[in-house]
Amino acid sequence: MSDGLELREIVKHYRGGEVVRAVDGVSLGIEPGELVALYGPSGSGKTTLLSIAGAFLAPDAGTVRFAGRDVTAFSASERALYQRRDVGLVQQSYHLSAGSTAIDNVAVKLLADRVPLAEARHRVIPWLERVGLGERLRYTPDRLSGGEGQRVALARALVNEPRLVLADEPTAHLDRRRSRDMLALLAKIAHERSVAILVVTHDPEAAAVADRTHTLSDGRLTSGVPRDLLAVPEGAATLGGAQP
Amino acid sequence: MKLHALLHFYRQRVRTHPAQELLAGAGIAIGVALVFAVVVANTSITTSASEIAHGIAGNARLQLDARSEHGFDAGLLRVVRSLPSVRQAAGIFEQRAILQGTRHTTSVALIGVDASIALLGGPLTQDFGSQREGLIFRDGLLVPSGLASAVGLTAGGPGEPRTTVLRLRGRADRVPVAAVIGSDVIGKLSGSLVVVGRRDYVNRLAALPDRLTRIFVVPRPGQDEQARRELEAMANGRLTVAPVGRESAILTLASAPNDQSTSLFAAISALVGLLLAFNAMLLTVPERRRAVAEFRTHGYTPRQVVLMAAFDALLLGTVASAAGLGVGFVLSRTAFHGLPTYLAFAFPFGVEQTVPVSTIALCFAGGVVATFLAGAQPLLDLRPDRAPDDVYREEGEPGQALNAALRRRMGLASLAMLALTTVVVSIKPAATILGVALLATSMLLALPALLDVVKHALERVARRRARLNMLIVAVMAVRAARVRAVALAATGAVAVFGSISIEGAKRDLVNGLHRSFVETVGIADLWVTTGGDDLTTENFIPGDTEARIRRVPGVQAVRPYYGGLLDIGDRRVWIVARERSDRQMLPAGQLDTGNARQAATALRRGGAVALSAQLAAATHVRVGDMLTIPTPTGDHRYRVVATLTNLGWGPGALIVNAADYRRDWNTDDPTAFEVDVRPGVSPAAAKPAVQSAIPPSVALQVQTAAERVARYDFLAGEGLHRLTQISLLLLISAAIALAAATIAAIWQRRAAFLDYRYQGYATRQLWSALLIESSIVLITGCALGAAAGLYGHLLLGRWLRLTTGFPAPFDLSLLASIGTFGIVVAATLLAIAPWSYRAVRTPPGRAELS
Ligand SMILES: Nc1ncnc2c1ncn2[C@@H]1O[C@H](COP(=O)(O)OP(=O)(O)OP(=O)(O)O)[C@@H](O)[C@H]1O
Ligand SMILES: [Mg+2]
Repeated sequence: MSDGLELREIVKHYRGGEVVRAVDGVSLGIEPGELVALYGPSGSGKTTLLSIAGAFLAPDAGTVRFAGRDVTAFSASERALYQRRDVGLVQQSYHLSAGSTAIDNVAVKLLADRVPLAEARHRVIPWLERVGLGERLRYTPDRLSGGEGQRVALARALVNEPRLVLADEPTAHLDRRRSRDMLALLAKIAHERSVAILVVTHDPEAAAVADRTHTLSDGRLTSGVPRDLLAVPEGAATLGGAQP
Repeated sequence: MKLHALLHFYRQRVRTHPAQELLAGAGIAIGVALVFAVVVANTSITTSASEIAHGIAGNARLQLDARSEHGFDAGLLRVVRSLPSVRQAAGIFEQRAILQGTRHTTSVALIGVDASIALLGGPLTQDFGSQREGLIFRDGLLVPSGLASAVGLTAGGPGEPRTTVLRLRGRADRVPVAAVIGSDVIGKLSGSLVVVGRRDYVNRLAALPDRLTRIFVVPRPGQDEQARRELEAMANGRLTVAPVGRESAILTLASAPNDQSTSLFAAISALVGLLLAFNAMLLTVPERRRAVAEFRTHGYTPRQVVLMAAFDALLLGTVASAAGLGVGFVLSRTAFHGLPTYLAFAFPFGVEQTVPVSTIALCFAGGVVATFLAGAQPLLDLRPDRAPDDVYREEGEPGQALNAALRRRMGLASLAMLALTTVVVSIKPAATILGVALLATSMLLALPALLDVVKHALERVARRRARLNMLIVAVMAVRAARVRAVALAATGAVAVFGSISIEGAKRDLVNGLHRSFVETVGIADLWVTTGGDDLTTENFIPGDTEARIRRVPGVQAVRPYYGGLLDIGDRRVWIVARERSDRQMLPAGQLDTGNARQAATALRRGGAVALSAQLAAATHVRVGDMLTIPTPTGDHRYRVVATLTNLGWGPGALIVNAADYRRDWNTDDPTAFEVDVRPGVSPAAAKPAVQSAIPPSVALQVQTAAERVARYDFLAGEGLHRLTQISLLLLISAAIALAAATIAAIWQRRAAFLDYRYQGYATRQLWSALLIESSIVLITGCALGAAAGLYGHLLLGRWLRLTTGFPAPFDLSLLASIGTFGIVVAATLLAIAPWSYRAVRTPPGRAELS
């Protein structure tokens, strides 16, 4: 039994008019200390799979295990506990609380777990520095750029030092250099702190830092990087880290 | 832009934001309804009274008035007609009477006329010379159809006329009804409380043969002044010569304190309604600003955007104002209906309600204009120095910004305005309406800064206590949408403010009136009166009633009491005359200036008068001065020994000793007997014995003092009841508006709640954060409203005492205020609770799609 995340035969169909086979029998394991990059065309079911891994969405069939426990069998309160202790989530369309500083926005994650605000603020600052926002600690979201906001969301996912990080296109708004830095940061966290990380991405750079890559298309999982990404010259140059 | 394009965009707006649009519309409708209902309830009284006056007087321009209901000799009419500058003259004999029908008993004006009244050409009486001749020369009464159906007539036998019971001067007679006159003949006056009969017949009913109370005079063309002089000479100081129409002037003055107080409250309701509408629109401002930005970035010109906004406002304003008028009309018919009965016995009011078209138009236009104004704020984004999408670059959720400097400036302006209010109102109590408006504005300006302070304080308290983490989350949410928070808090503040200030002042007035009644009525254990709904001003022929009552076992003393109404200047003053042997000559608790004991002694001695402060001011007398009273036997001078409140009668009251009254009013007819019972005998037990001692031919009614006070309380309360209804309406509409607005806002934030759940927040945590957030906003707003409301109550109470002269001692009544505050907060939170629970539980897919 694995200490990390284990998805087994996950099926999720959306019904409403015609049936969308968003996830159609996917099995995937991620060990602690491992960073897995998940590629796939738009609408292929990546976000759906991520949501199931984070217990935000219940699968139609299949099981999700984390550290040996059956996540799909959790009660509502166990689920909330899993999400605020074990999981760090970066959403594709993240939401920051308007009018509150970057610090307080990141602190939100810790408040859920009964950390007092004063202490939470202390714990937040190093994480904001780590994602390169040391100069923007007291900025409110309206004064942050799109990429800066995304990094606040990333810091928020990491601040509770989770054992599982689920990141949905965390570098979508970043330039190449920043993007590489953030992915490197994730890889470092994975390796140094034994965190299992699943990154959904379209970024060829991710393959370079990832321990493994997979591609989801039409709800089915295959190993490796999609062909069209290989066509991108810069991406191709950095594919060395990918394991077919 | 084409109309169909405008319509298309509007439909789209309504479809995407139905809650906001509904809310804005409801706010405007409530405002319009409040104003309309109150205005209608006020104007209809004066309108119908002046219509009645004109309906009888016709072309007459002068009138000669008796100074008591006993009137003057009818032979005087011949003398008047013979005056050189008089072209035409007709006399009437008017008495207050009680019509006791099968369904209802009511006070009416009983007017005796003869055929010559038709010469005046008044719409009410012009036919009496011709077609109605037959009717008028029969014994019986002409009853307007509205009144007839209200009281209920008794059907006669075959070929016999219908009948009704008429109580007049202590006698009850079954009288035939000669005719019921419908609106086809007298129009709106068919609803007036006037009953007409042949003059000598009415004289007979009143047992005052050959008397008149008023002569209407049509002077020869251009000779008004001469006619007036000739009449004055003839009147010799025993009758009053006045221009016709004085009746409505007197009514205006009589109802003035009442009108003033209702108009003040109406003005406050209007203010509150307007603020509610504004707040409702304020809630939609962020969304409207985003829409403006959206259109601008898609290349629409400012002109087109303005056109669209104007079109939206016109549509919303029209629909909402129309709905408001409808609600207001229903309200004025039901909740606000009923005449202020404590005026009805001195004036022949109508029972019909007249709504002038101008009132409707004004209220409607007001609603539409308010919508335009409130909806115009987003257009500020069209200023040339602003980028089309600046709204998205502001702090907080788009369009929700209120920057710190502005919040501070608003706070300072609020303090300045509060100081200004205090200064203005203490220098000039008459400016209270302005003061209260300033106070309300100051309150609203203080809100953003106050919310800052509250948020800051809460954060300080919570930041080291993990148990209070949801409080922090709530504070963050309030911070994210400042405009919304301010608008919601302001709605609560305005409602609580209006309700507490209106209810507080009203409670003071009710308590003050009650105490005044207790003092004036409590001087005897039992009262024997004609039973009219009056201030004991209907006189009767005593016969041997006094002696009969005195012989009843358990009765210790019987005293006649005299009351009446007398026109002094344009005031219909309440006269109270008391026997020397009365326990109390004047109600000490109602004293304004003077010494109670000395004043009582002086009154007992005679030649002295105690009068209402407002009346003293109008006649320019103070304690120690001499007051000239125009009595039926001529002008007499009395020494002023004290000034009082108005004893609950708007135009003012005056108290003299009974011996002075009998002499100067030249009458022995009392208006009541005060009966004291022996020690140990309860008034309630003595009452039936006293009643049975009164011969059945005498229509007198026995009441204990407590019953009489209760009756007065009821009469006074009826008029004031409106205020309770107004403030209740305010509270209910505010609670609904608040709950609706909050729920709409919560519903829109489902995606944000979902995000919190992605951070691992449990449903319960989110729910409590949401309820705390609503509580912060509500409690801050309502608490500020309560504080301002108490101050408003103080200002209103002071105004009531100083400007109207009503007894209204200030009573803080903190408990009632806390109750009002609690009700709004609790009701709103209760309404929000289940919705917010559903909102935080929304499963992923659905919220994200919305
Ligand atoms: N709540 C839902 N109801 C119905 N269909 C849904 C729902 N959510 C997603 N889908 C459908 O399921 C499929 C997979 O969606 P998903 O969001 O997982 O794709 P994705 O791989 O994350 O795409 P992208 O790269 O564009 O983010 C899509 O076709 C989508 O239309
Ligand atoms: Mg996705």
